Amino acid sequence: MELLKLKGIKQLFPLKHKDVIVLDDINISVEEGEFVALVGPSGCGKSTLLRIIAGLVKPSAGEVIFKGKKITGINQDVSIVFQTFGLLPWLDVTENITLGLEARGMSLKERLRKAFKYIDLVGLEGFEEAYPRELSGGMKQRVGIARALVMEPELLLMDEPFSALDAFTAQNLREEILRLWGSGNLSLKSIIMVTHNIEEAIYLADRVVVLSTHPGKVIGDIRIDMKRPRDKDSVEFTKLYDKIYSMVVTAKL
Amino acid sequence: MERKIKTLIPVFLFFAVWETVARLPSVPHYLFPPFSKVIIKLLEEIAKGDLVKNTFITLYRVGIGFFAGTITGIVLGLASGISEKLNETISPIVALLYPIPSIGWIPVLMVWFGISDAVPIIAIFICSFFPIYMNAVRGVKSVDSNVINAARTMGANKLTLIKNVILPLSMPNIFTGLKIESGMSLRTGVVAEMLAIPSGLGYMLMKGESLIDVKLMFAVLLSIALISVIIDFGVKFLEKKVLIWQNSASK
Repeated sequence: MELLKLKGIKQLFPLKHKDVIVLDDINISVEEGEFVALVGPSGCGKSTLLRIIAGLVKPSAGEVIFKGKKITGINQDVSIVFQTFGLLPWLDVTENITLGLEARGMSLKERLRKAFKYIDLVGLEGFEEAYPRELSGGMKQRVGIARALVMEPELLLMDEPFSALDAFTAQNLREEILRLWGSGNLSLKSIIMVTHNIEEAIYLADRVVVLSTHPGKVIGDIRIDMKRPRDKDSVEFTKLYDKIYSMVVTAKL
Repeated sequence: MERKIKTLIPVFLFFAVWETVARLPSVPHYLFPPFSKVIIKLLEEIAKGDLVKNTFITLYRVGIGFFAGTITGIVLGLASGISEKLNETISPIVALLYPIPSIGWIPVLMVWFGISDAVPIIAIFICSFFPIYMNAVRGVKSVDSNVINAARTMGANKLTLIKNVILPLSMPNIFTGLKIESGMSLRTGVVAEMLAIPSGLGYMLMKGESLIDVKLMFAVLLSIALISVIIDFGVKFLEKKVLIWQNSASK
């Protein structure tokens, strides 16, 4: 079943003399159950594309179709995890996680029940009342992930979710995401992740979509059929890496 | 506590030097009275009720001008920070008017309002408004767009977004403005009173001048210094309370 379809997405960025085309004619279809990574050189508009999918940015042209329906405003079935976490510093972990549920008018009891479930799932037990400033980067991103998952979205968007973290923490969280994704505990149907880390894309995703820059266009769509957990030193992994790497490099030209 | 005492030692030293210099035989007391005599004068003026009354008059003017300027500055600043169109309209005007010393408006206000509380209050309003406005705009601009995006995907409407995300995140910048203007507004108020109106601490200074009563002038200046310190403490205390999430490393 097709969950998401991008049809002819075009995004212009107005500058003084002429408009710059950030994204041009993007057509991507995401199936239910797919983990898709969007890679490309910086400035290729991949983060903008993520915001368009969420309905945060209106594209200059083209359509976002979610479950067969055209998206006009914010898509309520989508949650985002941000590189810079985007937590509210004056709220503790539980309050940060329940914020969106509150906006949905859920009762306090139900909010807390849900929050504790996801606090448990992402391994934040014992930190329910901690404030963001008291948490390490990895812990903050766990809050970011719990806050996104607690909304029980069908599509999870992740914008460079691990690139603000040290290598060790990032790898831990990647495995955590795979564990959650594979556990079947989530209402989540698909994940779209933006990254500039090719290795990360191959390690996590079922499909790697490569974007070029100026303008951002889809120049590659590679299926990753390796079994998880994937061995980064295997021949297959290295081959895929080289293939995508050369695509990204030519994409810059 | 120990640190508080440490900061007080230089102050006491200053008063001691003042006292000693003023007590030198060649220094006439009517031009440069010793600290102890200024304190006695201060207590006399407090007992007479004059100083207390005029202090309250000044505080009343500063309070109203400061409050009105702050609220207007925050509201307009937030609005300009959010709406680029409004910012493009207001900011050039602000850039033109801000460099004018707020004291420079006093003669104009005197012509417009005569002897009226409006003169110091409006002058204080002008000097309060600008730093708050500019810092509020800067505050909104500095809000991490991802926090706003996160709130929007979680279903926050515009009002919730402004009230619960943008305003709190702009608070550190707004307090920077508050700290600048709180001292400024007292100064502007005193000058306005010196020039425009026969009441308040500024007026008492002018009265001291006309009576060649240096003791009185020093007593008033000392009161102004004391009030400034109290206001400064007040703003810092408020900042600590409001921005508790930013400052301390633990609950």
